[in-house]
Amino acid sequence: MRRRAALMMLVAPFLMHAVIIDRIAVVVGNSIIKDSDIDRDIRVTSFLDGRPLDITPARRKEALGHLIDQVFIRREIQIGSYPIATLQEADAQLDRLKKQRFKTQAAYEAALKRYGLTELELRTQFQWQLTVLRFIDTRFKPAVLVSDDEIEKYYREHAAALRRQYPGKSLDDLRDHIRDILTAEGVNQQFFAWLDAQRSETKVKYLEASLR
Amino acid sequence: MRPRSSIWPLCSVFLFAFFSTQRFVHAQEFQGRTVVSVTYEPAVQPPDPRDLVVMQLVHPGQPLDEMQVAGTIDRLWASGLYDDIEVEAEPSGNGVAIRFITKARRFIGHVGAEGQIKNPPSRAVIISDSQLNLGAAFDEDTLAEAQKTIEQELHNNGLYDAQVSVATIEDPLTHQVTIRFLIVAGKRARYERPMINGDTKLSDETIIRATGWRIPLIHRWRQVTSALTDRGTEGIRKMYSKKNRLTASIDLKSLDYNVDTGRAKATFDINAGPLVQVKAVEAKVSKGKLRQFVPIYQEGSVDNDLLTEGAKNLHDYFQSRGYPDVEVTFTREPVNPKTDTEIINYYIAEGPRRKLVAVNIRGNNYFLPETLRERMFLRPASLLLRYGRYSETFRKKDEEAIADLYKANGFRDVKVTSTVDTNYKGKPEDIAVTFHIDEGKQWTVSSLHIEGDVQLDLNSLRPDLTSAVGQPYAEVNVATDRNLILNYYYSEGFPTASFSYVQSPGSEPNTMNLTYRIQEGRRQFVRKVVISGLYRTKPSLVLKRITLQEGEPISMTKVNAIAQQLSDLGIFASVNTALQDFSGTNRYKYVLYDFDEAARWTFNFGFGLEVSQFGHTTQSLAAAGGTKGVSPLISADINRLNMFGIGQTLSFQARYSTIEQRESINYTIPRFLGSLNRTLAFSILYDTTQDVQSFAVRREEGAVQVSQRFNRASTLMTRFVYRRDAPNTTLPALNTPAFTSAVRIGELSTSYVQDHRDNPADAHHGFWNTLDTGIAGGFFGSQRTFYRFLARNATYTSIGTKFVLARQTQIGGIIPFSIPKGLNTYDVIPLPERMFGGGSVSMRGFGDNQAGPRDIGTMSETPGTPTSTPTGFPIGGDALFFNNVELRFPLLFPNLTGVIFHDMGNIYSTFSDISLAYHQPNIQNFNYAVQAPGFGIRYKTPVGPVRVDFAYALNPSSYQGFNRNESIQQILSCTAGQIGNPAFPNCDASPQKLSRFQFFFSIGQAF
Repeated sequence: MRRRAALMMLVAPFLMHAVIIDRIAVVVGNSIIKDSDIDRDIRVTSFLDGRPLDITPARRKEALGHLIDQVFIRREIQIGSYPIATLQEADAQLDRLKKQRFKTQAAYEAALKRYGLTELELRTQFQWQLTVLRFIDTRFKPAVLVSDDEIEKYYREHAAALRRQYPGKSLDDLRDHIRDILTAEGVNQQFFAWLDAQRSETKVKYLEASLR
Repeated sequence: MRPRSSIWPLCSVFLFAFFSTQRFVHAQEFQGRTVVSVTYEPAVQPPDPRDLVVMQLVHPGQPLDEMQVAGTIDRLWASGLYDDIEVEAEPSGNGVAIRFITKARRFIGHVGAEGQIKNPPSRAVIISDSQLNLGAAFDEDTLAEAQKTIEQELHNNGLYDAQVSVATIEDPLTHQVTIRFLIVAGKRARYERPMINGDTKLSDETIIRATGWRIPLIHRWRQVTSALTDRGTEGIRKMYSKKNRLTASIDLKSLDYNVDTGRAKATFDINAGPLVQVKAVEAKVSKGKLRQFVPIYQEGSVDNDLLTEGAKNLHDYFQSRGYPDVEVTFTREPVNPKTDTEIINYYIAEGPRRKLVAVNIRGNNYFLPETLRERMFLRPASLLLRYGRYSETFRKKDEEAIADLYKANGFRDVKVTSTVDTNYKGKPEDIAVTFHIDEGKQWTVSSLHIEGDVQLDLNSLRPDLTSAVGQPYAEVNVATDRNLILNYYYSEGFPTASFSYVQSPGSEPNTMNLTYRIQEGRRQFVRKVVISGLYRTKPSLVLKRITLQEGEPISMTKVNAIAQQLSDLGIFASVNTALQDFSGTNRYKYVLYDFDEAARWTFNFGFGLEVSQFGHTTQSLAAAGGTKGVSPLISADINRLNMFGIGQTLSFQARYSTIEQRESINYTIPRFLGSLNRTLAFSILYDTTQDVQSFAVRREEGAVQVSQRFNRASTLMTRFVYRRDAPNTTLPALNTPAFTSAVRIGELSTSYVQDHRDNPADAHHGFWNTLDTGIAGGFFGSQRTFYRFLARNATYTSIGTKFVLARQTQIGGIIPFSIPKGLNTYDVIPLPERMFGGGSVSMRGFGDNQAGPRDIGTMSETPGTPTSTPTGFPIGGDALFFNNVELRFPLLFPNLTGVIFHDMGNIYSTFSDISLAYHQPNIQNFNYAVQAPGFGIRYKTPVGPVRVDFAYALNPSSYQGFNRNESIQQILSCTAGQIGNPAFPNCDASPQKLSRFQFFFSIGQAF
């Protein structure tokens, strides 16, 4: 009897034929992430990564994690009036992608259709990526100071690899290069520490149970 | 064996996974199909329909676009009115039916605290602790936190057994949630002997005494309150500070409640630290001054920063006392383990005492020196400042003040420096400071553009902008314009309007082009006004006063002004106002007014002592000129506010002293006939008074008064008074039926007040006019008929920044008409209706009510031998004229001022008898002007200046009377033959003179 009831419940929604086409999935502070946002993120990232489209619960949770982080970044960009990349700048990225991945425009458009994407969605994604990169650079780089001692320490610890990669180059020759590496590491550390702080400070409410 | 129920977790996982992965498939499936209908569940949605139509991007008849579905969700969410939104699609023929399934957000409405609340904490504190703000989003988590916070507050106040529950009611239309905290306070705990740990250096008893937690003498522990707990810790700290242990640490570790005993036990960790001794070396500084200037006493800790600040304060102190070359340094000696003392020495090398004799200003072309001096601290020596006011800090501040003034007027490149001449004009003890001003060029605005004013036309504001073309360019002016523009936008429904500006050099030298950029933001409109928190008050009382119309732009200025007016009704403890979901993007918003009704009953009791020259009785013949008297006073006011829930007030007032016993009942109807500034008041009064020593009067009175306030300064009052005066006197001349029989007076009168004083308690400029007129006639049921008027004009003029010239003139008269048979013009006006004067607020050359005509032994119009023995007691008159002139000036201390004054005038027999003659015509005629110069001092207090005045009457009144301390009863037995016969001294009055010296002590300026 219970088994029959279970089966009835399982199929009932489809008999009614009314289906949810979009909804609020998660509330992050005062912002929302919708089911459609998660789907779009999966489609775009799958397309850009060249992966097959795979909308599984695990994949959705993974995408949701990125989207929650993006809410924090978006909010900070808005509050701090950080610069936003233009669509023209995004087009340059898109053109590069087209040249690298697709032999013809038709092949590109077919791929877009296969992933359920429009070109505008791709452009917007590139624009967002550029904006985030600038934000990280502007927000965190000034706070990272690399000392000469740290450069020398890095040189000593990675001497073998550096000699292999840059044969015949001295510490002074590589000083700027090492400084860039250490700065990038410092920026990453600061950025992820900031993200951790945002995650712990912001209330996240899951309205869609499967995403918890 | 596998349990049968294990199918459910599997099913649910499958279901969630299926639905979530299928959303994309469904959305794609319906994409592009024609939308046949768009519905909402529930049908009534939180936003105003005018907002909803803008938010909804999916429309019937159009192909379904999932981007538009997502966009609609985003817009609905941004309105701030939703907690959850889902969108369903269902095939319908060849098309698709769309349904938005939503869950409305709830918002915080009225928050109340009910039950037996034992103060402290008060209801207001409990509500404030909840941190539930009107109009903010409501959720259960916040409510639970609020409940915990309130419980903690109750515990902190010793109510450890308190129980807090909460009830909520939601309005389904507005989704406002009323929250009621229900409190069962329980019994308040008492302190018990605390546990004291650490190196205290003091006995436990001393420390316990410092807490103040135990009642002295009876040694009963007090009840626990949060404030007393804090005061206990602070008391211990102060005690250590008083004993010079400034680094003592006092830590209240815990306050633990014992359920069985109902007591709270505190545990203190105390470390007394060493004694700290601060000494001034090489110069004398009192201990009090050291405590004032070295902040280690206030901070309760010792570190180099505080000691350095102390040195700087001492440095400024000595410089301001005429030691410009003073040097202050300090040393800290290590703690001496034997004496347990740390010594801090301030070395003060005073240097020679000098006088700041001149403050010069050079290079100022744009401003007059006076304009600059007004803003400066430095002051050359004067009578009030013997050595002037000088310090390095003041000098730097003055440089900054001058520079700021120039910059505010477009002199962007101004430079202000100062030099000190320590041997001014060859006198080594004199110094002079010269300020050198390099003004630079004045920058002006060459053009002003305003961008972004799309919906509002700012042209009407342009004349008020300070940065107009040709005007000085200064950032402070731009800031003023910014405030003006944004206030305009806020008042027109643009709460998120923002302002920025761009400047660029103009085509001409020293000119600047200005561009103001305005982002108007979204305009907000009134959706509806929602009121809450009214339990006893009729809603119509407040709704009538909330003049916001649905659909009008929300002006927060107007919203707040209405809240202030509602608060002014005097029947609410607080009036809060907010917009529901202020930050949401919906344009039509609920405007919320939430009320916390005040207690309906208020009680005020007072005690006092009146000291004056009122004499008090006629029992002593020698008291005709008044003697000092003391009258104890008690008063009680009981008010019942918000009668019938319509904001009217019933009050009972009683005042009892040895010279007056008064009870009155008043009923006040504010905002009479719909006018905010019109008040109708009914009153009845029973009063027995003997403030004029010649007679007593019992007065029964009923009155009705309408007062209309035209503006902040002008008020008109019209009243009808019906009273019965029953005088009683022992003066022989007045002891006739004409004077002692009870008289009914019906009088219609009006008063007009114009009060343009800057501060009524202590005016420095402005004027004050009053005019009272009245008519008493038979048509009002009055047994006496007369006109009465009294006019007053006072002006206050500032002379410089410190002196005030104040003057006041009063003139008044009573003119009888239709005199009843058997009475004459002298006795037609009953004693209590006559004019009396003299004293601290009218004419300081007299004691209280001592001015004017006095008992000359007869009231007959016929001159000649008196029919009764004259006693010389004041009997009032039918006219008055007083003129007061005062010069008010500063004295030695900031709160102390001095006054020299000249009062003149008198009370006269009739209006036609008013005379400014210096000499009294004769001993039976008092129609002349008494002149009384004098001086006084005032000390400013929060309730007004405390006043002491000394007056000297140049031409005091003479009268026939007695100087013997005998009873007036004795002269009543005099026969006609004995009166005026020197053989009978008790019946023979002799010439007397009122005292030339008068002394007054009171509160408030004389006028």
